[in-house]
Amino acid sequence: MRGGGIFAIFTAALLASCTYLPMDVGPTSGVTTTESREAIVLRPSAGSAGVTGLIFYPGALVDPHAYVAELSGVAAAGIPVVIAKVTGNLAVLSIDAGLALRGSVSGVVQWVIGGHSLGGAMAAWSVYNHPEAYIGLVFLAAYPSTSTSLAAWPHPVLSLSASNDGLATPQKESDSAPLLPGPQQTVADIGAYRAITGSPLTVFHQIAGGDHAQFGSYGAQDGDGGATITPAEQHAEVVTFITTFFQANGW
Amino acid sequence: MRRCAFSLLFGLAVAFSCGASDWSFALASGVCPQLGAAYNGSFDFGLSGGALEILGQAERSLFAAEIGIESGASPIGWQVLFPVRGGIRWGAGSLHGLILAETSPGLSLTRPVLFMIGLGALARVDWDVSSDFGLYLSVGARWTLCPAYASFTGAGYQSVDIPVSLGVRWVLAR
Repeated sequence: MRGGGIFAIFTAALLASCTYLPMDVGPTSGVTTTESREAIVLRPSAGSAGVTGLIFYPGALVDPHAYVAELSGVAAAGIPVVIAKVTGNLAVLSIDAGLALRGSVSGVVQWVIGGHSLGGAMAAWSVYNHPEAYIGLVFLAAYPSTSTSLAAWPHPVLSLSASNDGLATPQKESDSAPLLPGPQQTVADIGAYRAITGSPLTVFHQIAGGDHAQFGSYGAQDGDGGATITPAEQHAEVVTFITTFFQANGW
Repeated sequence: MRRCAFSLLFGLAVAFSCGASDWSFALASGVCPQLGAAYNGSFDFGLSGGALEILGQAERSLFAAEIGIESGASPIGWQVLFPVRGGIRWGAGSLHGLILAETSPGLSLTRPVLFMIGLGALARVDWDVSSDFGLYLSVGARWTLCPAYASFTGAGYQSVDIPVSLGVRWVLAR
């Protein structure tokens, strides 16, 4: 009986550790992709790349290739992107993986870090541990934990959420606002973002009709709310906001 | 657990169908960090992952064989391998060595689950601290690949690793 219990626990642990594979990796036109054991690097294949790059942590148990399609749009706009491959696809096991990746793209001299879901929370934790290592932070359906408050961090933050997110719910996002630097501003659309006249350190935007899983490309996720917009529409909105975030900060 | 181990070793014993008098059977368990040497055909050094392993071992004179389960992290997530090893043993007494070739079919813990396989060899030193308890240390080389991974990600997965195992072994029968 005891042996059966151990086997059941072992089997449940194995099933719970299964990674979501990507549903759609391409297209990656306009982008040069290189891959190593530690990361996937996306660079613009035409024109000059910027000197500010984006290091990105995937969500929990999501294959890093599930973000290639979306973040290729960011890279094609001239922003080098490094998608970290974290241990066991759990960023909590590689919180500071981004530090070693900062030398992975020649010509990039400063880095913004970001992540989806648990990856975003761990990116915030890495910023909390090494506040001088990064000059900006991007959250996709993510927020810092109460023990890693970034309220006093003097750099810009972009927080993108989705109205139909069943995991990082709008309520959780709103509750976490005091953990992010101020002044803060919420924008309804990209036009409102571009029209900002002040200098808010944290900008919030909620994607109407989006859900948690569509911040990547890995199909439906247990517990999610269900999107009413297509993955391509959600990805396009993410890309537009991230590239505008870089432009607005002179990167 | 002990019953499972005996069942495993009984299977080994039947498979070899030899006189049992000079066989020894052991259960071993250890940790196995894996240092990466090459990734998708290029030299790429780094930590490839780590695993826990449980092995049933059978040794007789010059020969050794073992089967088991190894579960841990890999560059593409989590995996379970089922190593089957055979080889030669040298030395006698409390300190002896083994050279083993292995094939390790297994599963990549993804949605969907994918087949993967490892091929390699290792050298191991067993140190019998007492008549029924010992320690082991092994170093090897293993080529692991998951052929179907590329059809989902656009990028293949094959890795050459240097697994280093350190563990304990209990001699169950001699």
